[in-house]
Amino acid sequence: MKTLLALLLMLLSAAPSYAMDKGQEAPNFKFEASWGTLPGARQLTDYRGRIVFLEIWKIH
Amino acid sequence: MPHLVEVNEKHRDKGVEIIMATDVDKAPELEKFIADKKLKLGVARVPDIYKLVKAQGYPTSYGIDVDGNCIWRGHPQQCNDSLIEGWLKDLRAPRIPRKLHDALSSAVNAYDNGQYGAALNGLEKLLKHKDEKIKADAQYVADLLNGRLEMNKAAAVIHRNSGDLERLVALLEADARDFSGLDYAKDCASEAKKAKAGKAYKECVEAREKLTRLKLTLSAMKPADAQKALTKLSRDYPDTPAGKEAAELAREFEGKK
Repeated sequence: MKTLLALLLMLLSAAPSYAMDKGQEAPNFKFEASWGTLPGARQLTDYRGRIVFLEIWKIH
Repeated sequence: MPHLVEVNEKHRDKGVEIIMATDVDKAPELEKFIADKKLKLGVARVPDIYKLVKAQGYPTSYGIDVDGNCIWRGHPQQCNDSLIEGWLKDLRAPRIPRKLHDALSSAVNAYDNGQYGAALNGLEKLLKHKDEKIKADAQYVADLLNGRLEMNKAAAVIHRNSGDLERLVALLEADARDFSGLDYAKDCASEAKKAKAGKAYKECVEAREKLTRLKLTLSAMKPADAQKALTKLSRDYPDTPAGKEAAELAREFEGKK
């Protein structure tokens, strides 16, 4: 029972996850830090009114 | 990434923002990478970004419209001028996401119908209203519209400076229509009319039409002939965007000879 409760709690407290595809609203993620041409921006909604090209990348 | 830098420089002032989001958790490592590569792009550190958008792999990219909705998903290499320009055709003021005071209904209706001049005129009195809620709501909508107006003005400056008169005229004519009722719209209409009557505008149209036709035949031509035709076009129309593009294409064929 305890295990079940723990599992339920884990599921409820998990961060929401969004699949982003054409037609769906982009999750409003926060920028922990930003550089270059994004001065002062803190989150994606700061760009409402502009078209955003978002690239998800990693350093290789 | 170099092509994204180019896209950014070309389209940023027209209303496009490129955001390179990564979940690299060490800021110094990221800063070193940006400095080493001399990255002239917007880079953001977003913890768990990969999970948040459920990306299918690295790198993945998305197009997001003015309201924050995803309009495209693909590989960053697929990002080019025609993709971005297609999105820019639909560049409108963002939807108002919250309920505003009823006193603004007429202005909001005009806003929703793309009659931005009428909306701004309707807001004028409300911006001085004694009810703080009405005043704040009016300011909110006015800020959205003025932001768009300033963005369009900045784009017009870019088109003027680069000699891209076709795009300049299209932008001015759209603003003359959308901001009708303001002096700004009258100025736009007058500048567009003057530009369209000029020789430089006619040359821009002519060069673009010739380049479009030429592009259709390039693949069937010998590289030397293609280069010759492109060079001629670039010399006939040196100050037009199509002439400049022809010069670039001619240089590419130079290497293929």
